[in-house]
Amino acid sequence: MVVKKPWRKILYENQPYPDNYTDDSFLRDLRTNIKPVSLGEALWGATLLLEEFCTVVAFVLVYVYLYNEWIQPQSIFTISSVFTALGFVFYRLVYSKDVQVNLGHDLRTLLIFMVFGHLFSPVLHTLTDTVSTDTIYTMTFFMMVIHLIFFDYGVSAAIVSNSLSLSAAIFASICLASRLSSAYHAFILITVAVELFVLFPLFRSKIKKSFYIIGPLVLSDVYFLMNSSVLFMIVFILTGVFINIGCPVLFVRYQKYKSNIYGPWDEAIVDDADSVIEGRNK
Amino acid sequence: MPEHTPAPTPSRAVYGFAMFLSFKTFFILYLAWAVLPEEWFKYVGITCLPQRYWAVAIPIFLLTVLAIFAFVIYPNLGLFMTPSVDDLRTIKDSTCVRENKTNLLSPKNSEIKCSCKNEDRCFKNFERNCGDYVSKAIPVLQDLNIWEVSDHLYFK
Repeated sequence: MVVKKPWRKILYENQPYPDNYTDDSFLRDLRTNIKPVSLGEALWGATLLLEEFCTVVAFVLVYVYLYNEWIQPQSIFTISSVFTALGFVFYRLVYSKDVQVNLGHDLRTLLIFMVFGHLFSPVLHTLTDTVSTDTIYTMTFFMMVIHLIFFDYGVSAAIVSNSLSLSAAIFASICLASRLSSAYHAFILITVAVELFVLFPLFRSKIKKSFYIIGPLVLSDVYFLMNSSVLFMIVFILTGVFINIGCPVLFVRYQKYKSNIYGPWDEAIVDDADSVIEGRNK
Repeated sequence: MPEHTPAPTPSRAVYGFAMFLSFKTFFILYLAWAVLPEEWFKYVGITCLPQRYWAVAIPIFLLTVLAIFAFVIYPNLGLFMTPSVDDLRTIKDSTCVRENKTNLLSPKNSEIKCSCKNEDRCFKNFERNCGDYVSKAIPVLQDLNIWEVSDHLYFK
């Protein structure tokens, strides 16, 4: 019996096999679902969403406290300013190179915001005054959903739009500002909105995943929700558990239903084009 | 800069999964709003929900729009844009042949003279014999006049 030459996956030679012959080694290089996401990665990734969700809840809590006059606007301003200043100092000292150059610029931005915020707060306060309260709350809900959908969680996707996300959040804050009792209240609410939706994400994007951000955020939200409404505290905790435990577990479990195939026939993938371009510019 | 890509990237997987879950969640919330008695919402303190009339009205409205567009507006648009049966446009358009003879390129044999030293490799020599090719060539794709076709089919 003549032993055949082993089959090779080539077209440029005549081989002693029929044309429709498929060897066992034909799909040897096929890989499915390379690099599955581990549970730990998924859990940490979900904290990014939970952080932003907690930020939104914290903002609405500030509104509720201001609306019911449970706290003086002055003290909210003081507390938020202290936290912002601490975060600013930390951010500049740890993540910036030339502190002095940026400091003047930052102070000027702060001054412009304070002056124009005070000047325009009566306008912003009465801007949506004639709209009914139910509409305002529904609008705020949808704007916050848009904010959460388009927020930049650090995953490179085409849907991410920082400007749309920020505009939605600011629009929601202006909607809510019209329900408050005075223009000063409105100014405080918009200041808190800017701190929470502009400065805080900048700060967190440098810190990335940290237990020191998500822990205090969740605990303070739970505490203040408990003081205002036990029902919504329960809803918040359930939502948090769903976001940060339910979804990642489902995501990791459902990965087995994926069937992405990879192999030597794939076109070349530039792994991280952005970093390559950045490295060249340096 | 991220782009819309059909490649199975990890970010698409995450966003697709988030979309899958959120649509399920919103559908359940919609059903709860549409089906559960209003007193239950009032009992837990949710009073700012829109009237439940809209839970039925908006889907019905959208379905009506869809039905009207699919069964009335689009078929009628098609009918309006179709010329009537005795219109000349049904048998003739701008790509129709106007002349019987097609103007194909045929060089004049006598005009071409060449200064090439090697006669065999001269390109004009090829062109000189080109008349044969032109007459045998497949004509350009074009519509035929309907009366010409009828003439060939029924009068000969």
